[in-house]
Amino acid sequence: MYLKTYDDWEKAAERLYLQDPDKARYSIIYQHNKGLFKVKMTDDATCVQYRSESLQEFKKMEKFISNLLRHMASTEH
Amino acid sequence: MVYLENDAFLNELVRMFSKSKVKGNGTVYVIMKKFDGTKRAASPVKKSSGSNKQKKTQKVSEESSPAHACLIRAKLQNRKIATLVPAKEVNRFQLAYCSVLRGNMDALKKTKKNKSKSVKATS
Repeated sequence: MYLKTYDDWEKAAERLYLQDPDKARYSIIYQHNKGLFKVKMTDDATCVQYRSESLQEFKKMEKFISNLLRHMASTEH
Repeated sequence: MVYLENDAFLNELVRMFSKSKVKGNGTVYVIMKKFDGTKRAASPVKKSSGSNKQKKTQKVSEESSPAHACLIRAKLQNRKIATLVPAKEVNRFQLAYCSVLRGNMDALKKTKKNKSKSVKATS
């Protein structure tokens, strides 16, 4: 399921991750020739995706990635 | 799968990005996931099969996973690499990782700036 705006995606992805951090996985797909990236968060039951060509939105995404990385590597919640 | 050291992984990731640009049809996949040291593929131990077995498997998994980590995998065509980022390394890795991503996704557009310029031009 593709979401229309980045903010919607971020909220949905966060919710999905917090529901079950053990199951959720996050992926970035980068296609250089098309100049776009896609991001996906899924727990194998639901899947939220977002597609963008904007560098600015990728910078926003970076913050999300940092938080996620920290969260995933931290000990029990 | 063999896990690379964090730095080796980043170097390899950079190489993957540059390869995808040369070929022109490359798509780089980067997957992040929570890693708790246990193998998900292993079949769960049945409750009826005695408590000894269960204890053993639990011990093994505990020993092999002293800390939680973040598993990162990357894929370009047939080439696959993976690394584990332990909690200690997060700060250092995160900076390097983000700069690798940003530095290599250079085909993205700066759309918003263009829009605001065009708005100004028309008004």
